[in-house]
Amino acid sequence: MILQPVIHHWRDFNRADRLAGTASVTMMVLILVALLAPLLPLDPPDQVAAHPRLSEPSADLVFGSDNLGRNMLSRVLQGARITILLSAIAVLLASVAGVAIGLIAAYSGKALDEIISRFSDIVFSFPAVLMGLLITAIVGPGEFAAICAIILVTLPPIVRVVRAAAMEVTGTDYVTIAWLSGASPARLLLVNVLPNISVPVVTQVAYSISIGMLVESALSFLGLGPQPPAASLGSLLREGSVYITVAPWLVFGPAIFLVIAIWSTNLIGEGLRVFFDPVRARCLEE
Amino acid sequence: MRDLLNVESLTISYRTRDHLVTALLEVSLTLAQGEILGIIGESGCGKSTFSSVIGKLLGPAGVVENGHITFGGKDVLSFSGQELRSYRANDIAYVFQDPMNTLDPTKTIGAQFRRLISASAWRQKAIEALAHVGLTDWRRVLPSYPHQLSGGMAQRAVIAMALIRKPRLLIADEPTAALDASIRCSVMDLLTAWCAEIGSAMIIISHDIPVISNYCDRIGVMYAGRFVEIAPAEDFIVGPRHPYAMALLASEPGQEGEDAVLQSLEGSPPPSISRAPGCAFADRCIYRTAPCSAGFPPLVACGSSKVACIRLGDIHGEAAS
Amino acid sequence: MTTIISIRNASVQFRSGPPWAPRIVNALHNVSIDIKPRQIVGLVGESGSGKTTLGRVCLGLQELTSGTIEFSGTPIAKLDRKQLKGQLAAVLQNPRMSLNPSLRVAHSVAEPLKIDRHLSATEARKQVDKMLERVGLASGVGNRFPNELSGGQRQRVSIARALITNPKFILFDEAVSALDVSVQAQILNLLRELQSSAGFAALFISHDLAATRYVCDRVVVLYHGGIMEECGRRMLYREARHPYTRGLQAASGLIDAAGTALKLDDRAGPSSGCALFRRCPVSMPRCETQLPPTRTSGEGSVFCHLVSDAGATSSGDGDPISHDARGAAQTPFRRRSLHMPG
Repeated sequence: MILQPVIHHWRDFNRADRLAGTASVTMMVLILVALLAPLLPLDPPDQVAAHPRLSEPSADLVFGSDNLGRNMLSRVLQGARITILLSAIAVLLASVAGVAIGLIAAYSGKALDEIISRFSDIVFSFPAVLMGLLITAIVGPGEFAAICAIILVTLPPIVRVVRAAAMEVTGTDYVTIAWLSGASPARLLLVNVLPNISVPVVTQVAYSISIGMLVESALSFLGLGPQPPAASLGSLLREGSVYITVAPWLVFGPAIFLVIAIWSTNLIGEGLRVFFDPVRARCLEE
Repeated sequence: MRDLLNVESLTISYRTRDHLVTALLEVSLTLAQGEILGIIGESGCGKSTFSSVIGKLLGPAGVVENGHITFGGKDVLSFSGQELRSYRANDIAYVFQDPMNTLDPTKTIGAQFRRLISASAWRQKAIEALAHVGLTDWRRVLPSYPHQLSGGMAQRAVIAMALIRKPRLLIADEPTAALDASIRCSVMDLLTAWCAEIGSAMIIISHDIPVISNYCDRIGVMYAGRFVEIAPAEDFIVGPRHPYAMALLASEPGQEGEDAVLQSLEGSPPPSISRAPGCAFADRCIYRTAPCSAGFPPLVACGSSKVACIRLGDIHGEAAS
Repeated sequence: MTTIISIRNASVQFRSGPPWAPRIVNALHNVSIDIKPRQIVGLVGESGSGKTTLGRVCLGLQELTSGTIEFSGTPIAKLDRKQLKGQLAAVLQNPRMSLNPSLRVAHSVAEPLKIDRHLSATEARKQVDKMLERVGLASGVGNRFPNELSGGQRQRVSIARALITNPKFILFDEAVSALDVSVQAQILNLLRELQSSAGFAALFISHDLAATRYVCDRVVVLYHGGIMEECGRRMLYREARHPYTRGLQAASGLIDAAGTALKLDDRAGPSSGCALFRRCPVSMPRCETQLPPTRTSGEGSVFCHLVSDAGATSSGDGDPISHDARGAAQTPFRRRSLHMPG
């Protein structure tokens, strides 16, 4: 019963962009499977010698087993859980910070705006991996470093999108009129600006999650993310790459999961953009 | 005079997600060569649909359900490919409301003329065309980008481009709405004078009743996807016959006396055009009676006008002949 | 009687271009206007005439380069927004952009009340419903979002929001321009009715002379940042004195266009002298070099050499250049004979 409105909105969304509708269902399934993996009837991901070493994929062992005889499916699901969780947490923090900073930049004008914009340009100009290396050099490798790197990579675009959208809305008549009737800056921003920039912000956040997963995987691939025995999709890829000539399935499992997850998130982001597009809304109106 | 354009019981709908929305309903009209027809009506009455279907510009959502359009004896709706391109290029031309949307912002006016005229003498022809619309300073206009011109100059350049190939029909959709009031008349003077010179007919769609009444030979009033009155301009401005046209004219400020109150027309046009029988205007009409909702009122001749109202005789105290 | 808004010799300049080659645009030049309580003053002008800038000046949104503006006798620069809130309101042009799309209509209308009066939600809602009824909207409209309303309904909501704090002054900036003729008449009539019951003062900015004279007590005509003519509304039901005003009258079909239509000239006006020089149908050589003097009479003020000359010779209120202008009432929208240009 609670799902009724969710399904209703999903139907509209699916009708606007069927690919994105499918992608949203796929992503939902991936997240559920990754989160509920401990409850599924699978071998524990760290159980060594549960199966013969480097066994090929079969009906029981969908992704085969690794060099220590661990079930790759369990490992991929555990790795996916870490990858998705880390990027979700990081992007959540980045969006809260990005919305606040972007609104302040748009509202304060001139000097502060200039400082914020230039600073975010500078941060944005560093390649993601370089940024990750810099941070691990300071805080040491691990989950915290990964989160920091994702935040620093996804924050500048969010700030930019929020600032641009907020500036456009600040110039509209209804904000002028609210200002005229004596509204405080907080009221102007929270009541009149924030709800009307939600569309570009939500879209940008969806893109940020896919960037987050990519950055996390890249860092883990370089061994700078979560440390063993914890594994994320990136570190599984690195471990598997050693055996790529003899047991290519070690790479296929995590790679397929990562590709599907990132592709789906991008499609959802694109779908959200189309779904909220004012031109499309006008077509429906008429 | 031979008929240039003949529209016969044209019905057009737009396809939406799950149903068809009617935009024009059984519209018939003839336009003689060189004639200037003005169309007025509130937004959403089908004026723009009517103007775009003549150039077969309906877009993928538009569906012609019924009817014919003949232009110079040929069936427009059956045109395709080369035939359609040559019809759009040589027989008709459009002028839209906003010149800045019509002109390509990345090309100079000269370059845009050059695209229209392939002849080597394009420059001479462009200069002549610009002179026709009062832009004699071609040394400045031709190398200018659209944003470097004022709105009035840009719209005149658009008119020059529309008329340079001497079309037989010019369709002007709100040609003066984006212009300042004080140059509207001058621009309309230039436009109508040039059309008269090359013998082009014109359909002007406008909200601006002074513009329509000044420059048109005939005036058509549209409501809910149909013409409710078509009348010679002289007769129309003195006394429109249809209650809707009367109300529309009475609500235009400009003719009321010093202490008079504007007769405003309450309500708004129906959001979707219904095909149920009865006069679409009935629920806003002050002359409504029970028979009004019984059947479609046909366009009947009434003097020199054609009016779609069953109560004409009672309203104007004369028999509709 | 005190004035609500008093503008004296106001000028506004905008600078553009790079610092080494600045371009200065005079948006307003030496403009003086008084708006008295319960008075609607019309401001007519074309694009680029500075009318929107003047509107922003009245709301304190635009600083003056020189000159003064007083609100109820106090310079507006000395008042802060706390003292002014609830006293100034505005109804702006674009009905699509003037209401917050994510707030329900009732919420939008109640916003000034909540800020100004700190009323409880139910009390505010009661006042909002009363106000929505007063501007002719059904009570159900309050629960809808702006994109579910028609242009006319949105403009009614904007008016309700402007009136809800019972302000002393309301700015209407092109408030009816985007509407269909039929809806425009509804809003104009509503405005007249509300003004006589609520008694606010207002500045009604429009490019449409016919609509302006219908609702205003006095009309100011602006061209290129300067006032051309200021007169009572009755004057605009006859033939105005300034050639520019008459050109606008002719363009709206209010008077005969013969001999009054403005010329089409794309060149800029002379640097000294009358800004209208190149477009004026009755300009004289003097107009190019000398600024016209102000001529004030019972009918208002006119800034034109011709009017001032004629006034000096015929001692007073003779109406020198006005042609015989009656008969206007019988045939509205007279047809003009088409003539070839040139």
